[in-house]
Order: sequence, then C-alpha cells, then structure tokens
Amino acid sequence: MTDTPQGAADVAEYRLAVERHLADLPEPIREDLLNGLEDHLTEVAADREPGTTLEDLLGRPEAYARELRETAEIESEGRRDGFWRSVQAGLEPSVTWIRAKTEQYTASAGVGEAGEFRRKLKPGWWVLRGLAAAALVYYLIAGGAVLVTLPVLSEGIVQLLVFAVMALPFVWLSLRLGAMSEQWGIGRRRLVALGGVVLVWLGLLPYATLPSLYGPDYGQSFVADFEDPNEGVTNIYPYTEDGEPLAGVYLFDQDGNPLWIGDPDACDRLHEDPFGAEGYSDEAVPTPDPLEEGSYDEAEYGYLYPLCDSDPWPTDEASGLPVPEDSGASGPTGEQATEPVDPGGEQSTAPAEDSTPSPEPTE
Amino acid sequence: MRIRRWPLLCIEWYCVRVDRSQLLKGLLDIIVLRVLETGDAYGYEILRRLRGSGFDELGDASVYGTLRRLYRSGHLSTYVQPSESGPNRKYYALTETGRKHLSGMREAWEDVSAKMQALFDSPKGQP
Repeated sequence: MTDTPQGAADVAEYRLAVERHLADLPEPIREDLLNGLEDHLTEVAADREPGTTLEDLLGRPEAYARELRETAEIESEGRRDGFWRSVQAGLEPSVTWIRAKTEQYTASAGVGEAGEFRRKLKPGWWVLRGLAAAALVYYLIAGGAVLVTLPVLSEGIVQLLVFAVMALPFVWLSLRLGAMSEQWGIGRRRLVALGGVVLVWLGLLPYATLPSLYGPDYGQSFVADFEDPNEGVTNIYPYTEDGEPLAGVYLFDQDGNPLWIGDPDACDRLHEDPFGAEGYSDEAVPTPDPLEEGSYDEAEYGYLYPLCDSDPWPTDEASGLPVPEDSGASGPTGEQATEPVDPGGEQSTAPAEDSTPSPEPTE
Repeated sequence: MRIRRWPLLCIEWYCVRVDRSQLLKGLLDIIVLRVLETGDAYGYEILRRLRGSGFDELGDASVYGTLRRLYRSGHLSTYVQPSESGPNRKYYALTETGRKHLSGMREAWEDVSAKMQALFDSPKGQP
C-alpha cells in the first residue's frame, strides 16, 4: 500500500501528528521512538486492507502518541531524578494552559489545530530561510562594490530582479533541505531549525546597517539617528568675542561639510527659508555662490543660524557668554551682549568679511 | 477462562476494560518477550499474535513502544527481511540477555500469580 505516494504521505502525516504529541518525552527516548516509527507504520500500512486508513487501524494519532508515551515512560520515570520531575510537574499546568490557548487561538482564526497550522507554515519558513541565505551571499559578494552599485541599482527594479534570480537556487536548496529534514530525527531537525534562525538573522543584519554604506549623506543621517553628538541642541546663537550677536551664520566642519544642528520644524516661528536662500545675504560664504542662477543647493551650506525667528537670544546668565572685563576697550558691555536681539532686525547684519569663517568645501 | 484468571475484573464490563488495560501495562515486557520466545516477528505481527491470544486491549503503540524499550535495553536484536507484499520488515529477536530477563520475569510472575490465586481462593482473604 505504501508503494503509492498517497500511502507514503499517509504514513508521513500520521507520524508527524504523533510526533507533535511527544514533544515532552526525554530526547533519547523520543528520538528512538520516532526514528523507527515511520518504518513501523509502513509495515502496518502494508498489512492493511484496501480502503482502510492508518487511523482505522491504529486510532487517532494523539491517542497513539498517548499510548506510546505511557509505554516509554515506564522506563523514563525511573531515570528522571526528583528535581527535574518536580520542575516538570510545576511547569505542566502552564504548558497545558499555553497549549490550550494556542489551540483556541488558531481554531478561532479558522486555521484549525495549532500543530497543523504550524506544519502549513513550514514551507513559508523554508522560503524565508532561502531568501536570507541569498541576501547574505548577495551582501558578501556585493559588499566591496556596494558603494558603487547600490545607489544606482536601488533606484529601479534592477536590483530586485538581480536578487530574485540569484535567490532562486537558494530558496530551492532551502525547500529541499526542509523536505528532507522531515524524515530526520528531532535532534537533527532542531539543529537545522537553529541554523535557519541564525541564517535569517545574519542574512537580514547587513541590510539593517547597509544605509551607512550608501554614501556620506546616507551615512550622516543614519549615524545621526543613533549617536547624534548634538542631541538636544535645537538652535545656535553665535556671538563674536565682543559679545556681539551674529545672525545669518552657516556652520561647517573641518571638511567643509555643513553641520546640521537643530530642527527647523521645532521652531515656533521659522524664517521663510531655514537655509537662508531668501532671508539672508550669502556674502559670508564666498564660494561657490549659492544663489547663482537660482540653483541654491541647500545641502551645501546647511541651515542658517539662528534657526528660529522668534526665540529670544540667551542671556549671559543662562548661557555663560563671555563678558568683557573692561567695557571701554574691548567692545560692548555685558548689557549689550545679553540684550535679546531680533535676528531679522537691524542687528542681524552679517559680520565683517574678515571675521567670518570661510570654509572651502571639498566638493 | 478469563473469569478464572481475573476474577475481580468481571464484576462490570466497563471495569474489566479499564482494569485489564492498566494491569497489562505492567506486564508488557513479559508479554512481548514471551511472544518473541516462540519465534521472531515484526511489530505488527506481534500485535496480531497477541490479539489472537485474546489481548484485545493492547494497542499497536504499546507493542511498538515496548519493543523499542526492550531493544534499547539489549533484550532484543533486530534484522530486516524483504517482504513479498510490501516494504522490508524489521524483525525482532530475543537476545541471550532477553531470554534471561524473560526467565526471571516469568519466575516472578508465577510466584506473584500463585500468591494472588491463593489470596483470592482464601475465604476471608487470609493466605
């Protein structure tokens, strides 16, 4: 009878159903029982009358498993020491409750028994495992060239197609492995499952950190999300050494890249353009001309500080601004320095050219 | 015949089924070993022999589980033989250890059985 695929499928299905109900048996005993069970069921199936099923001969799988467990536990009870027996006994109500709730959950969703549902999900897991393997290999192969290729490929469907073609053999291998492992013992299958979990984790991990490889802009935004050194800073109020407030200021780092500090969206009232395209003269930034032919590149200079139009300038008490020792020689008095200044007003004129940082952007 | 061997089990039909099943679980080893003493057999064949001897309560799982346990203990050996009607069959055979084990269990059983019989035959339950 089991020469037919249907007969073999019946045996495999019955064995799986029995296995699901033997999960609590000690590993060596379960392994031994399950390893030989399929052969035994095949023998039984070969002796059955035409038209009868294994369930007709042996009863329902859960009853078969219960009987098998009782027989096996004649020995295992004697071996188990008191501690583990008490642990198992203590956990049994919780395990039973979880199983019952799981059954209710899947049954109420209309997908039948939890074990059956888990079995149906297996091919999906195998596909995911294959995709993860392909993703990992793709990353390892393309890792060196990822800076060049990914920004281009990610613009279209090309990357997806390349990956799909590459993933096909991996998914096939994973499906094949899954189908074969159905015949293996529980120990080997757990090993395969553990390997699959690790593979999925490794396969997805590179793509979680991949944006940092896309380029300087992606890298900055990615890093800024996680370790922004200016976290908490919402605005910048530049002053001269004389305590004179400066408005209309761009900030650059040592490489000439703009410093993106603060958040224009957090302002109660914003300038018309936080990048200063309209509101400020760009005389302080000599090269290149940001307003040339109206092609202002906002990313090249960053925000214009102070960002917000309505925030009061900090006082010396709050900010610790330097106060000149002698008001007569070195500039304005402390009162002048601490007086709130309207950035959009007369005092917000750009500083003298020789006092303005003149970065030379690298690009 | 059953009434003589299991007098208490015939009070109610449903009690017979339950009690016999529980009693037989403790005797599975000696039952299976005894069947195999009469000749090597594969799993389902052993069950059929037992059913033929009146052990209707025993299920295939009990026999299969007992066979695997006795095999792990070294009381049984196995070999595979081709079958004319289907796939190869795994035959179980008694090992020397198994024979000794069966012999010891049989002595214990006969001792207990004799004492139980005497107990039941005694009018007031006194041996």
